[in-house]
Amino acid sequence: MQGLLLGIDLCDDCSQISFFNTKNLEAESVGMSEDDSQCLIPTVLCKRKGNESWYIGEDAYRYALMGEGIMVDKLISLAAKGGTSTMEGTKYEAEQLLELFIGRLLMIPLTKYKTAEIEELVFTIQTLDPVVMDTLIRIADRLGVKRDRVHIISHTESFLYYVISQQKELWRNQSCLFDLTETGLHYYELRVIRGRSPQIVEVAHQELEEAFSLEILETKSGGKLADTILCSCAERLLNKKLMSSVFLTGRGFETNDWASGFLKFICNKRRVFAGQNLFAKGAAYIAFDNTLESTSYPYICICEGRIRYTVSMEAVCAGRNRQMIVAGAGTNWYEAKADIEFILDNKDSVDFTVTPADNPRQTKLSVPLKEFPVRPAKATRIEMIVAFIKEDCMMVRLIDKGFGDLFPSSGQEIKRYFYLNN
Amino acid sequence: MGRLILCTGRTAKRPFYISELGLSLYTAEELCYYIYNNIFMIEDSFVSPQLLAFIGSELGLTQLEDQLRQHMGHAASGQLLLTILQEIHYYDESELTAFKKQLEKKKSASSFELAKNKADFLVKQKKYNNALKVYDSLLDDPVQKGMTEEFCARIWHNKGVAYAGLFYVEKAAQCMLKAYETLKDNEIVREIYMLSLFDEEAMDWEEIFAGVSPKQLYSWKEEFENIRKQLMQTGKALEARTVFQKDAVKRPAFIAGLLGEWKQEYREMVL
Repeated sequence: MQGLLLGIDLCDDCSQISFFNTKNLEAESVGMSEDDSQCLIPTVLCKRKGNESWYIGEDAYRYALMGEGIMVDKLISLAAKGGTSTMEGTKYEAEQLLELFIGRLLMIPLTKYKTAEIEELVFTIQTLDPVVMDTLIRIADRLGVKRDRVHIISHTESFLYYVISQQKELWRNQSCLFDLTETGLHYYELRVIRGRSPQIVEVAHQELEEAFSLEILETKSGGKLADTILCSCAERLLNKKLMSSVFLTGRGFETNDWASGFLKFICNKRRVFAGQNLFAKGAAYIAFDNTLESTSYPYICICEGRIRYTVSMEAVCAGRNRQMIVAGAGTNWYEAKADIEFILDNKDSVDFTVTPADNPRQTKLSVPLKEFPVRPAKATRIEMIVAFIKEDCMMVRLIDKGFGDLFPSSGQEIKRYFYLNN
Repeated sequence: MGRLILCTGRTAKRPFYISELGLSLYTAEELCYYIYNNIFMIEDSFVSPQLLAFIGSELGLTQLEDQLRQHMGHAASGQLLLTILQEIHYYDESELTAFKKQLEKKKSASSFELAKNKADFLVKQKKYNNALKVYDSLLDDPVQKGMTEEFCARIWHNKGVAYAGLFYVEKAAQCMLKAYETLKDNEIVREIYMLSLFDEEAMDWEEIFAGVSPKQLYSWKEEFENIRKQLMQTGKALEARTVFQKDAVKRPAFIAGLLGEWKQEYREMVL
């Protein structure tokens, strides 16, 4: 049996799991309960007092409330800070705690679908913090999911893939999402840039200043205030835009009787969908797409976490000049890497062409090779490693490999950083 | 305007070893470079079953191996070498045309011209002792071999360069003086003067430079000092300085390591 294709939304308040069903080609929610109704799993970990048993989600709350356990929460923020927590005299690193949480989280779908194998695992998190990303990769590896089967994307990217996996009429014009949680109010807006081949799908994200604590929804007056705030946001953000669909997600929209004014506004000539697990499902769609030989989405996807530029260079291959793509627009910056070797033929620099996804205007970048020894033409092999340290910052590392026994390597290296949006 | 050539081929786990040069070739690019730049010293036996096996098994170029096997025994070795260059596409059309001209020249080259080319290549590769053996064999009865005086003088000069590489300053200077007797090239005098600055005790240099103006000697000395200053910032001098910057505890181990490397390099030169 093929391993599971999973999308996991990890947030400080709660986490969610989605499984991609290859039979009906749909992403499905996976919850802690039999009927998957409890798909919001609080991101809390509880150690049972006196023994090494650990619990997550509602079970964790239960033991903590009964006084039988010690609870730790906000595991993602703790991991980002590299923090620790001391329980019963033992200090636990944030990474250990997160690993315990994720290990138990993964047991839910593995138990439900009676398998021990995960074929693709995509985590989606609010912000792509490199520390958190590295931590998740290490954790997944220790839990038996190898590096090449783990991907980490932002909520922005999850939303993008969720929407483009729906019927086209929902995003024929624009589409947007309001995500209301304890940690904030986020707005995402998707648009399609036509007139290019392939088409570009772009998602912009804003964290809105008008965020409020979900506690205010417990009172009628608080609910009314929240409704007014959201109406004002919606009027501002949706003004004069052709929005085919609006999505609502997050704990704040678990019930929406308090948001009558807001709903009335957004439902006018738009299709509106409310529900949880949107980000996890988007991640599950990506998990499936990664198993295909080539992507089933014929678009260039531009959003947080993805490179907005195509970086290419000219090289000769089998006697012919070619424009080689070093990093393509729409690639996840964390995964965009190139490791290429080439020979210098009367060339004293390595040159790149940078083309924005939404603009044909090109920029040229050059790395002079002054530090390398001067050798005859066609007698220097260079290893070039290109990686991104942020979505708009490219690192280029060039290493002189010499030319076998004929010209030994000098070991010289050149490293340069380029900000592509300059 | 230059270009970058993408490397797509394999690096051999078992390189192709050229024993007389002590040289290993690991990639298709190195093989092409070696053939293209050393056509005068490549003998017919170079295109051998071992080379074909290397091309097929180590470089993964099985089609090229098959093609060469089909023509081996019928086609001239030069044609086979040209086939290798054409199929690997390391050189463009104009470069291949120049190579073909070199092949033609080689056909009409004498055995002693080919031998000198080989020795000159050995000097470039710092295989000085091997180079000296070839030069000595050429200089043994040069008249019988049909070599001109000028050709012999060039051999003496290059023999001097080989001795200089081994730090045999006196022998290097003597060889260059012999070359100067025929060639009368001021550049050779300059080279001998540079040698004298390396080891002032090696010979009676005054007599050699008696006919050179003080102004010229001063200019050459300045040039030598400039080169020496530049070299202090690179290569072996830089390696040595880096080692001496290590702390006193680690330094002896680094010095021992560096000396070991340099000794091994010298041993390879005298092989």
